[in-house]
Amino acid sequence: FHFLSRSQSNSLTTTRVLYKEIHNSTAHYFFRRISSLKLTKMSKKIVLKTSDGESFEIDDSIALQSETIAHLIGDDSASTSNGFPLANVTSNVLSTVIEYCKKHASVASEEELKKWDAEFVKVDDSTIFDLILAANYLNISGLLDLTCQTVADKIAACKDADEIRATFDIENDFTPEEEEELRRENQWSFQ
Amino acid sequence: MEESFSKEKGKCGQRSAGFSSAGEDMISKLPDSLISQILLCLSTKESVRTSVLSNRWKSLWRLIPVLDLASSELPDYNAFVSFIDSFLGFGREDKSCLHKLKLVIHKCENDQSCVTRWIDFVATPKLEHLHVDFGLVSRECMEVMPLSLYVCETLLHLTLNWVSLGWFKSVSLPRLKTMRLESNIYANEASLQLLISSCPVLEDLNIVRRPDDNVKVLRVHSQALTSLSMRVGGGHDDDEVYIEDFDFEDFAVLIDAPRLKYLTFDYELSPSKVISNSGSLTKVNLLGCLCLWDDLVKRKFFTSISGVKDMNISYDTFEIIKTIMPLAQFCNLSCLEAAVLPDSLGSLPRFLESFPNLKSLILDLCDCTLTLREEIRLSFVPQCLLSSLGFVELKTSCCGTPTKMEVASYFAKNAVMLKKLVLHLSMLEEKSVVLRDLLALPRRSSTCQIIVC
Repeated sequence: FHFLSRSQSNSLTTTRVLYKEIHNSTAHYFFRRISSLKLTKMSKKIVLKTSDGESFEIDDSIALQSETIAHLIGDDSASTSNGFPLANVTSNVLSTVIEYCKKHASVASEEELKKWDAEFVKVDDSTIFDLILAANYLNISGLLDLTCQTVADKIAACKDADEIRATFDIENDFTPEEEEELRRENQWSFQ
Repeated sequence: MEESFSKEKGKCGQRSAGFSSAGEDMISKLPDSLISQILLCLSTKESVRTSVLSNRWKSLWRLIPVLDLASSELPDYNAFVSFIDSFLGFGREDKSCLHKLKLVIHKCENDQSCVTRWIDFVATPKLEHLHVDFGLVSRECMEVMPLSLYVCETLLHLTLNWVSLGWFKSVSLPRLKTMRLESNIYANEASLQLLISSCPVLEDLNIVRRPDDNVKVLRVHSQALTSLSMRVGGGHDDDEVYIEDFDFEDFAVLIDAPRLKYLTFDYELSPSKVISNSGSLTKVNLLGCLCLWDDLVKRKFFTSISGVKDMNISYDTFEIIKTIMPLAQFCNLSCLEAAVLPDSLGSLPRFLESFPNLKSLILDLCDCTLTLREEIRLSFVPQCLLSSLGFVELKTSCCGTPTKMEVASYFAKNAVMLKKLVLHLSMLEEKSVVLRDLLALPRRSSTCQIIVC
């Protein structure tokens, strides 16, 4: 008789075919690897658990944009039966991050991505900073660069220190003399 | 009471709509590394300004591992020097950990030389970008680069403009990928050759030479080089180096870079140019003056580049090619951009015979203020027009209409596979009239689209 078994791992498009033939009392095992171009890539789902207890199931191609997650996947001991725990990311922030990763995993021209990114960062201040922290923790370089650049642009758009402080709610804890001293020290940069 | 007073003081400026609706200072709460990441996106000048925001911000700008400054941004050269000294020296027990140092310096004769000690300080352990540009400076004022530069293990990108590369014995730049050298003075030919060939992963090299840089024969020997661009520039007025008066007779360029794909000569004035191992060459730009005079040298040169797929030539190069026609066969060439003087148009059909598989042709008919000596008549039809040429663009914005029409009708009439013919018109020409005449042209290819812009 023939015994056929098939096993498929996440991204392999090969099929291992195992034949066991019984010839008299001898068993012959033949292994054949068939590369099948018709099989579409089976993507594995990754489960992420946020700090507030919610679970997100996403394709590995999207999750792998985070270098932190990529390392966790490689390390078997990191996953629990519930998926990978992300201690520093809440569900709100993670869903926004996933939105970014989904768009950047999709097929789109550079121009289209730039336009999409510009719209993506039109959010309130606390979200931007949450995204910076999340992108840093999850090690997603594209998102970190984008969010840092957004904040930098806002700083550059301010005409003076007062405006920067107002924009970001920074409290001026210098005495007038201290501030005057600092301004004198680097006078050239204020001109 | 004091607390509320200072809070009011801080919020006296105009509030930008929408951004700080939370009323909480989230940016200052970010860790140092992330604020540094944000400040990296700003110029050094903009990030220095943040020092007055609050105590938290007082010294954050000093943590940024990038210094990008032009001496013109500070009130004078001495202020520039003291700022950099303080930035590099601040709070670091051992050497600086700068990733990138970019300095654009304008100095006069009497200003002190400082770049050497700065480079010595930053050259290890993490420097990846070094860009030193003195702008136009006379030869006497050129600063000599320190030896520490040549053994900077982590350097990826190096730009040196208007400096003096003194004598050095050993070069160890194991990671250097791109190098740009402009108008520098070298100790001798051998040192420049050593610098280029000692970089094992150098991919991109851009050299702008000056005739008095102590290099006559330049050997570019590199295993990894994929892109090379060479040009000749001038010197400072005080140096009185005039290219027109210079004798380039003994100058030569010898290139041996088996992985070289892209080559540009843009006014490279050496009369001897030899390229060996040109098997990987795919795109060549021969712009400005090619300056090859000897027929044998010319033939060898064009034969050595005859495997390219894409070529761009100036009208001077076309004139040079005319003297050695028929040119070697460029069997792989599919894209050609050529500038042609109106008087040389007669040679165009025979010239195209060297490109049997040409698919796309862009012609720049230039300097048409010269009146033609005789009307051009293009009759010979080269192979590529019969079998492969699918796209022709005539950039003729200053050309007289009769010449344009003659060239356009030549292609329309004879190119069997032509799909698109694009014609650029000057402001003075009547688009509608030209278009009407063009559309009336007999066309060999039934799918030919004529576009006027």
